Formats: sequence, structure tokens, C-alpha cells
Amino acid sequence: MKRAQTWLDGAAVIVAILLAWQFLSLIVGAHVLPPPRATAGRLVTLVGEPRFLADLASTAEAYVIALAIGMAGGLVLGVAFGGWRLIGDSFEPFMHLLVATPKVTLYPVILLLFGLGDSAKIAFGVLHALPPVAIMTANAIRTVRPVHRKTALTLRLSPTAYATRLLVPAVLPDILGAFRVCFAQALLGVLVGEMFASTRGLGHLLMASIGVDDNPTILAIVAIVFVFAGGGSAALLAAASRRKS
Amino acid sequence: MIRARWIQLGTAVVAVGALELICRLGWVRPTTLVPLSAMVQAAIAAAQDPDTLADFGLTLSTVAIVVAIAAVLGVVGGVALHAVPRWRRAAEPFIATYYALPLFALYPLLVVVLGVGTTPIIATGVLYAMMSVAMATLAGLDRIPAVYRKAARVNRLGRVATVTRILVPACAPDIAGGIALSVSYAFVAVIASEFLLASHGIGHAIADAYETFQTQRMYGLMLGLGVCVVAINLGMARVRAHLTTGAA
Repeated sequence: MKRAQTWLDGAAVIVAILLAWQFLSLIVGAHVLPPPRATAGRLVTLVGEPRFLADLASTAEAYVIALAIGMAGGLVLGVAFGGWRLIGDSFEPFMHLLVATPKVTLYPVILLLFGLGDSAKIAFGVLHALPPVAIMTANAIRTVRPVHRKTALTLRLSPTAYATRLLVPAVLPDILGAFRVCFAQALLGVLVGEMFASTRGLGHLLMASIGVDDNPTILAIVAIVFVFAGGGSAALLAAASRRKS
Repeated sequence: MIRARWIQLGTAVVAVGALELICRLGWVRPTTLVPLSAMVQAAIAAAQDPDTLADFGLTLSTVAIVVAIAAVLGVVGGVALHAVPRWRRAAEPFIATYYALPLFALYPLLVVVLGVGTTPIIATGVLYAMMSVAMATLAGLDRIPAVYRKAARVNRLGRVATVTRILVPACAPDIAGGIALSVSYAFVAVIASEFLLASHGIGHAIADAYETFQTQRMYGLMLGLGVCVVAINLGMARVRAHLTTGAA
């Protein structure tokens, strides 16, 4: 019963968003803000276009690589920061500095170092995704309860057994949380990278559509990105809360 | 900790020294990377240029407007959601995934709807910054002891008076923490918007320097902006840490 209620409430919020969208479209005009139905129609035609599919594949490829590097690199750095105090105290502040910087201003540097092309947008995705994973992993490892470590000592667990049986299960919910942030940040980095300087990808298509005032395409792309990011994040959130409970 | 400080200092000195060396020895082209000393020179030159200062002022004032609007909307939204538990339950999954959405993708649309200028930049910034205030307000309202509400009822305060005189002041530290966080979101959104589609502001000045091959000026502007924003963000993080430990 409660579950059904939650679904119903969620559906109500989606309907409210669609109604607000339709209403706004009526106020500012359908040529400026196409209504949901027109956007859905454009989405259907867009999916049939080979150029769009090529852009989608290009973004997806860069995104997956950026996500993998960001997650793996962040985990390695996070384990080093959280596991060895001196390393953490010495180098973690640099990660905080990177998180605090508006990274878009660094994009020209990335372009100058990596050149125009896929590697620049992947690097930009990694720049967004890696630091939060490193910081969150380090925090997760630091907050493992001392009693866990003592139990491992008492049971004379080998370092491998300690890692696989205690440490990993203990930090897994936090790692899933870090992955959720990584998931979103890598997408943001790759998309903004494509918007600024790229000849392929959804971000580039977005900028090209702005150039020719193709509002239905802009909205259709925004809708795809939002559904993907929101859906992925919600699924990861659900997985993390199942782990915790 | 002292040892860590020395390692930090050593790393920074080595990095700066290496940067200076590879640039001065001509290992990288000056159109790609310039030494730190040249960046500092360019930053000082930019600080003396009235046009650049005007751009900088515009960016800072836009951020200030964004934070002010986001603070009001965030508090009002937080109080409203808290007052109607059913709305809150329904909105909770959306709140949890809010910062996973690339809200920045909406900026082109806002340009179409609101026109080119500062308005779509402010709107994008508010979208980014507002939710952190709303989330902080909700968290703060959750922590208010029941006796406060009882006191309001005993004194026969109306709904509005209860909110403005008791509830909001009681969770002020949380709200202030949310506003401090919203400052960094506002900076990211404003600078990124200026960078992509604007004719003024420091974000635009950096993009312009990049496009016109003024590499040294570009790095100088980045350095100036970076130092300023990082200082503000770290200051705000400290304020937040102070408020949360003070509130606990």
C-alpha cells in the first residue's frame, strides 16, 4: 500500500512538471518553448536520424571512458588518502582545491594540452568526476569503525580477507554514493566539453541547434539527458539504500 | 600534520618550479603554457585594466544577485515542502537526484526564452543554487525541538508568525550553511554560462582571450579568478563547518 502511494506521488510530480511545461509553453509561445508533445515528436524523428545516432554514440563513448577513469582513479587515490594518513594529509587538500575551482575556466588549458578532439572532452569529464570520488572514498575508509579492525586482528584475518570480508562491505554504500556523484559529474564534464569545443556529440548538437534556433531539438536533447541522468541517479540511490538497510 | 604541511609546500614548490623551467627552456610552446611568473604579470596587468575590472565586477554582482534570489526561493520552498509532508514525500526522489541533473543543459533554453543578457545567466545560477538552500532549510526544520512549536501554539502565534518568528530563526545556522554552499554553485553556473554564451563577464573574457590567442592574458585571468573563487569557496566551507559544529 505504502509502495503504491509512493509511486502515485512520484507520478503526480511528473504530471505536475509536464503540466507546468505545457502552461509555460502556452505563455511564451510554442515556437519559443515547444510543448511536451511536440518535443516527444521531435525526439522520435531525431532517433531515426543517423547523424543524431552518431552524436549520441560519440557522447556515450567519451562518457563511459571518462566515468571508468574517474571512478578507478578516484578509488585508487581515495584508498591511498584514506589508508595512509601522511599521504591523505599531504595531498587531499589539493583535491579539495580542485573541487572548489569552477572547472569550466580550465577548459582552454585542457584544449591546449589535449588538442581538439575526443581526448579533451574525456579529460574534462575525468577532471569533474575524479576529485569527488577520491574525497568520498577517503572519508569512507577513515570512518570504518575501529571495532571492525580489532575484530579482524582478533580473528587473525589475512590482509586480503580483511579487505574482501570487512573493508569492502563496510565502505560499499559510500562507494555507491561516490559512484552516483561520479556518474553525474562525468556526464556534465563531457557535455560541457562538447558544448565548448567539439565537432561531435550531443553537446555539440545542442550548440549547433542554438545557432539555428532549432528549439524542438534543444528541448529533445535536454529531455534525453535529464531522463538518463535522473533515472541513473535514482537507480543508484535505490541500490545504495538497499545496501544500507 | 607538520610533516604533511612540509610535503604540501614541497609539492607546490616543485610543481611551480617545474612549470617555470619547462616554459623557460622552451619545451612547450608559449601558445600552450606560460610560466607562473608570466601568469602573475598578466593577472596584475588585468587588475589594472578598467574593462577587465568591470567584467569581474559584473560576474561578482551577478553571483550576489543569484545567491540573494536563491536564498529567498530556497527558504520559501523548504518551508512549503516541510509544511505539507505529502508533497515532500513525492518530491524527495527528485530532490535527491537534483544535483545529478546537468541543469546547465537548460541554459540554451533559458537564452531562447529570456533573451541574451544577464537574465538567463541569473536564472541558470538560481536553478543551481536554490536547491542547496531548500535542502538545508528542510534539514534545519527537521531538527527543531517540538517544544518550539508548542511555545508558538501557547502564545497563539498565527502560521506566518510561527514561520517568521520561530521556525526560520531556529534553523538559521542550517539556512546560512545552505546559503554558503549555494555561493559555490552560483559561481560555477554564472562563470560557465558567461563562458559559453555571453558578451560580458570574466567567464567571457577568458573565452575571448583563448579565442584570440592571448594565452598569457588567458592564464592571468584564470589565475586571478581561480585565487579569488577558491578563497571565497574555502572561506564559505569554513563558515559551513563552523555553523554545523556550532549547531550540533
